[in-house]
Amino acid sequence: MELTDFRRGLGRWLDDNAATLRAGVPFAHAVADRLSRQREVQQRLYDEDWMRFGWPERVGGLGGSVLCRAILGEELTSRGIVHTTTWSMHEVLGPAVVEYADPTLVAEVFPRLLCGEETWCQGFSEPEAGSDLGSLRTTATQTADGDSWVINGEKLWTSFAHHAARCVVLARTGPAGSGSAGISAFLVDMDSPGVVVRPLATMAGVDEFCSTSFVDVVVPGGRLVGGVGDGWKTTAFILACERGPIFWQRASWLARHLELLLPHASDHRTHALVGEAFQALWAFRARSLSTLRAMEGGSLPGPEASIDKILIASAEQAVFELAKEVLSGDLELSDSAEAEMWRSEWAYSRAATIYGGTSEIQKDIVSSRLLGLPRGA
Amino acid sequence: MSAVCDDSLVQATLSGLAASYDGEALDAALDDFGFAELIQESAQLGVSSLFEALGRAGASCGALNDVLTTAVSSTTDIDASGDTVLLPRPGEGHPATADRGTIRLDGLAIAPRAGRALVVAAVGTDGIGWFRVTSSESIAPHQIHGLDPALGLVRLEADSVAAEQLLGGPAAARTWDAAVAAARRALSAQIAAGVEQMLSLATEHAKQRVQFGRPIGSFQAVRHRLAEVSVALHAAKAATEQSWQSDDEVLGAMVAKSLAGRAARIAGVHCQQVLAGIGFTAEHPFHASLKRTIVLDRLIGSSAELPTLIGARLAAAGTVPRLVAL
Repeated sequence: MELTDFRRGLGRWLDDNAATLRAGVPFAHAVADRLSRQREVQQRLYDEDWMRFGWPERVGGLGGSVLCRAILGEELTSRGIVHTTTWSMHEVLGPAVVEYADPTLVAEVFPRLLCGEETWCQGFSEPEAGSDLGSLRTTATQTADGDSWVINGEKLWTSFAHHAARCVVLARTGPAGSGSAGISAFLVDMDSPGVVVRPLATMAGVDEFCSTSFVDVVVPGGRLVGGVGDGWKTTAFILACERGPIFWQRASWLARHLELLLPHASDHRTHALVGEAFQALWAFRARSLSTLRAMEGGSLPGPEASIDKILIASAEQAVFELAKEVLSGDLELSDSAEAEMWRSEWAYSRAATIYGGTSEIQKDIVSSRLLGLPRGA
Repeated sequence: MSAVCDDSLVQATLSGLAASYDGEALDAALDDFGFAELIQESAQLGVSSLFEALGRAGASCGALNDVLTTAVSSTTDIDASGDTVLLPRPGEGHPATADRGTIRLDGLAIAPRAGRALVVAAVGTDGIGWFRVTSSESIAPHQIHGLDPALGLVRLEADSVAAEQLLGGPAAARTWDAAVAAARRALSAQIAAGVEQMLSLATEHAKQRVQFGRPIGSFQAVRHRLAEVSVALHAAKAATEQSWQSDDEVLGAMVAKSLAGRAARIAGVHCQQVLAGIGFTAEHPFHASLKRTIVLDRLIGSSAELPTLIGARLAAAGTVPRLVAL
């Protein structure tokens, strides 16, 4: 299907069904509500095939360009049909599992992720391994019979873990001190004995964030995503894929919020802030276009995509800083449902320069890999 | 010109000309090349290639006028090819006002050619109209030295001159918008290339310069400054490139110019700091790019002014356009 036909057909279907898809209806704070609302939407999108374009046929997709997925996210978030954070998860983990996990396993579990039946989460960061992910301490030890692995450790920032059916866990299979070379990735069932999820409250008031611990969790060998010791490669793949359709739909979400703020901008000062936010957003979009087109051509985003990451984080913070300014004190002082929504989105935007690799890490990548500067001591 | 159909050949040729010539000699070389004809057929290729080349080489010429006259001629019946189209002065929306057949003008041009008639967009009681000044020879051009004398910026000023009206009504306003957008796209490309020059000078210096026993480019304070310049530059370049495809040409060009000027401001600060002492000397080429980009940022809407105009435009429309589609 041509992209323009896809966009047009999808747009028409979404507009025709706007009421039952609850387009533009504010999102609840509780993640459980957001996820169940998305599940309904996703199942309909899957039944109508919109959800299946851009994914390979062997995993329940219909083939076609990866850009279909970016367009789907764009059309959904720009209409306020799904929330940008919950919409991200299948895009974060899906591509790597499809690429590197055992094909039989993928054929079994991936369609459930695609149709909304399951939510997955990401077990990467640890209490003592944030930006320095390569120093992670969670271990996976092979059982004596060689058939399974036993995982022990604690993961942080495992968004949606309390509602997730599976988790992509990074664990050390090499000796302590083996750095990024000794890491492997596993697809772990969250109902495995020994997995304990503890939601962590965040300053955004949304119960998305979790701490997840793994105590003697037994994982079958077939759950390796990639080979033993390939975890860093899988991680790089996941991070590269994050720079694609996920960022694109997030930018549409931001454009929608910028648009909601326009009626509040009425003088030079606020017009200037609107202009700043718009150009930040537009800089990202102009930049992301080439990243997505390269992805469509089959190449994975490289170090240049660190630019995209920095730009979208700036855009996100510009939009919600604008909200804080143009709402004339409501964001700080009002208890209305609308103010509550802006407050939460504003607070969430404070993490934009932190999650998915901090802006400082991105700047290091830019200076080493794009500018060719010598690495620091 | 038709024989030259290869994009990279056009780019290489224009790059070579801008690197070898400057001022009137460059204008003459561009005439021989057929630059004005090229941008009538392939505006994006011709304008981007030349103005990037100017920004890289630090050269200047009267080509911005070709961009303006082409924009006017391609959207109206006016043949402006032998004229000079005036730009507004900083802070002004237009270069002239009209009152009952006479024009009061005060505008700018970069390296205008001698002996050409002036074409101006003037604001009168009926809005914007296009006029050709019938006694242009009586207006003495005043060469502006300012921060960047080598740019060849000229101020043209006259209290009351006779002029013939060429166009009025909504079409005149649309043509002015199109001309300004075309000039902004060209200047964005030139500014971005100037930023690239500054970044490349500072990056090379950071690799070579050793202090405390190591290249200063290994210090995170230096690395992050240059990374910020790189991010701003990528944003400016992408926005400039996409402004050619934008479904709102005016907005696309405003954003491109604003982001290019913003990148120039960021580069001006960080690259200067990284280049430190050597970059402060007149013999080092840094200051030329710094001054050139600062002056170009100031023309037809600076990065300090444009966000307000962009915001007002969006607020008036009540929508946030996508500008380009995947």
